[in-house]
Formats: sequence, structure tokens, C-alpha cells
Amino acid sequence: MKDAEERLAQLGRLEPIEAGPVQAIEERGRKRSVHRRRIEVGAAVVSAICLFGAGSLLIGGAGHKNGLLLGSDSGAGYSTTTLPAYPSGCRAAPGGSTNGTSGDTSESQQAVAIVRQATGENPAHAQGNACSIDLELSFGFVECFSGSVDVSGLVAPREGDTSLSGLPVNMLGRLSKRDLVEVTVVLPGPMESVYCVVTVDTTSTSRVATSELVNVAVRLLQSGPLHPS
Amino acid sequence: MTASPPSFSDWYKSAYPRVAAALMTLTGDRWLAREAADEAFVRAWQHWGRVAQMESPSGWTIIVGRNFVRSRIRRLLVEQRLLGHVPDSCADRPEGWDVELVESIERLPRRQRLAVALHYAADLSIGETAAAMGVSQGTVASTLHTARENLSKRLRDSELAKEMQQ
Repeated sequence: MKDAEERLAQLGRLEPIEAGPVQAIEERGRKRSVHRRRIEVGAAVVSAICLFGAGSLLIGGAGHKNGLLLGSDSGAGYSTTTLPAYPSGCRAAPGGSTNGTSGDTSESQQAVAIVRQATGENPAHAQGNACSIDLELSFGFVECFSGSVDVSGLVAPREGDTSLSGLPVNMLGRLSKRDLVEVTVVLPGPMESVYCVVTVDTTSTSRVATSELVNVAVRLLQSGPLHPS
Repeated sequence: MTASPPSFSDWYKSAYPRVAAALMTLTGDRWLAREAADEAFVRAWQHWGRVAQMESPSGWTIIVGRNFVRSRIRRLLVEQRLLGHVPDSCADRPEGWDVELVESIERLPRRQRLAVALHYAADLSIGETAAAMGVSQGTVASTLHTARENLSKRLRDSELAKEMQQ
């Protein structure tokens, strides 16, 4: 045991990795902020959140001029028209499958379907279909985790923590004490759109009431950094 | 009167080597650790007003870096699956790196590995480690104790295996 302790004490003392110029870090952060602001003030901004995980739970929403547009997957076991505590200013995606998407088995397909449901039929965006086509091509796990993704550093929320841009996330703390990752996907295409995806490891939280997750997603959509302008 | 938080620039210079060391312990790869550390510090810069108030800004930054690495690994796994491409195994390790120890750490359960990286590699106090991991100080102490026991056993086994080979 002593040997292990002595060797552990040497960790980090060998050939340290020194910091590069701080200006480089600041410049990267500044560019990102500018980019984000540019997107936020655009007319075609859409933001959506999907919660998905091993518990086959997925809900999504898109910013809408009249509020938020929500959709759900069939596995969630509820309908967006029967949300237990349907928040004011939100409504279910019109037409299509208001009982949730069906027939999609993989989470990535569900993610695509749910955002399509929420955005493709959104009357506020004339080019909604074009947007959903882009999504279909580039919004799955493949692109989601390869290249066009900016995983922001808001992680491991805990009771009382105020990460996620000041949003009180004590509810999230009850869902999972780890592995919350916010992902922002900037999609190319005729409409420059911003999608905000939150993955939650639901393997240990499968008994959490769906309504709680719905509320979490709604609050994120309403208060998140990518709230539509 | 409470002291004003340090400037990002001052904190960055002092915290970077420790954050990078923790990430190197978690990843076993110097290049990946640097990339993850850079990314994590960009995020820290973006949220500095809030991060500076945290009990352990370095701990937060390490967790952000760790999640960046996870995301990167997920991406690689997807690429492998889709392209049938197996990336070269070419971990960039520094001179004098205790490979045996690092490989033993890599085989620890995830929570123990993180506790070791935060406390030993990043030199965070038990309190800071607890804050970063979102657990009590007692839990950190017992997790580190178990980790040391596990490491001792693995290192002993490794020594024995070497002796038997000779």
C-alpha cells in the first residue's frame, strides 16, 4: 500500500504539460460567443431539446414564435397532448403523430424523428421541411458525436447547483448525479439552426416520473442559453 | 471581507498543469489530455463569472475535460463501427511516466479513477475533490482508500508476474 501511495504522489509531477498562451483560449471562447450570438439573433433560430437514454425516454421541442413546440417519442409512454403539467406557452406539435413518433427503434432515429416532428411542421418556419431534411442527414448519433458538435461544459449538476446558465437544476440533480451533457449542434443548410440536445443517463433513473423529465426539458428550453430569439 | 476571485489569466496559468495532469491520468494520453484541457479552459473562460465562484474551479474544469474525452471516444467508436476503421493505438505518453501505475489506474472502477486523478494528479484537496465529484469528503476518503488498496494489489500482482517471467 505504501508503494502505491508513493507512486501516486508522483502523478502529475513528471514532465508537466504547461499552459499555452491564455490569449489563445480567450480567442477561442470569444469566437464561439460571437458565433452563438450571431445565430441567436437570426430570424430562423430554432432550439430543441431531446432527452434520450437507455430508458427509451425522449422528448423534444422547438422554439416557436408563440412558445415552445413539444413532441415526444412513443416509448415515453405519454402523449404531448396529455402532458401531466402542460406548461403555459407550450403546445404539442401540430398534425403528425401527437402521440409521439412511432416505428423508430434506435435513439438516434428517435432523435431525428422527434425534432422533425417539432420543427418540420412548424408553421413559423417556411423552410421547416428543408430544415428537417438537413436534420435527417446530419442529426443522429453519427454527426451528433462527430464533428459538428460543441459539447458545452455544463456537467454533473447537483442539488442546488446553478449550472446551465443559471437555471436551478436541483431537479436534474435528482435525475442523475452524473453524465449530464449538453450538446449544441450547429447545422449547416438553408436555415442556420441551433439545436440543443441534452442526454441523460437514464439507466439508473428509469423510475423517475416522466413528468419530471418533461418539466426539466421545458425549463431548459425556456431558460437555456439557446432560447430562440 | 471575502477575497475577490482571481483573474482568469492568473488562474489559468496555475491550474493548467494540474488539470492536464489529471486528464492525462484519466486518458493515458498526453495529446488527448492537452486537447481536452484546452477545450475545458475555453468553457471555463466562457463561464468564468460563475466558475470562479465555485469551490473548486479546477475540479469543474477537469470534469468538463473528462466529458469532452468521453464524447470524443463515443465519436471514435461510432466511426469505427460505421467505417470498419480501427484507429492506431498510439497513446502519447511522457518520458518517465509510470506506465505500470497508469495502466493499473485505468483498470480501476470509474469513480475510483476519477478520485485518484483529482486528488493525486491534480493535487486537489479532499474537499475540492468532493466538490468536483459531488459527494461528501468521507466518501472521497473511503473511495481513495479503496483505490489505493486496489492499486497495491494490482502492482503487487504485476511484480509477481514479472518475477515469474524472469
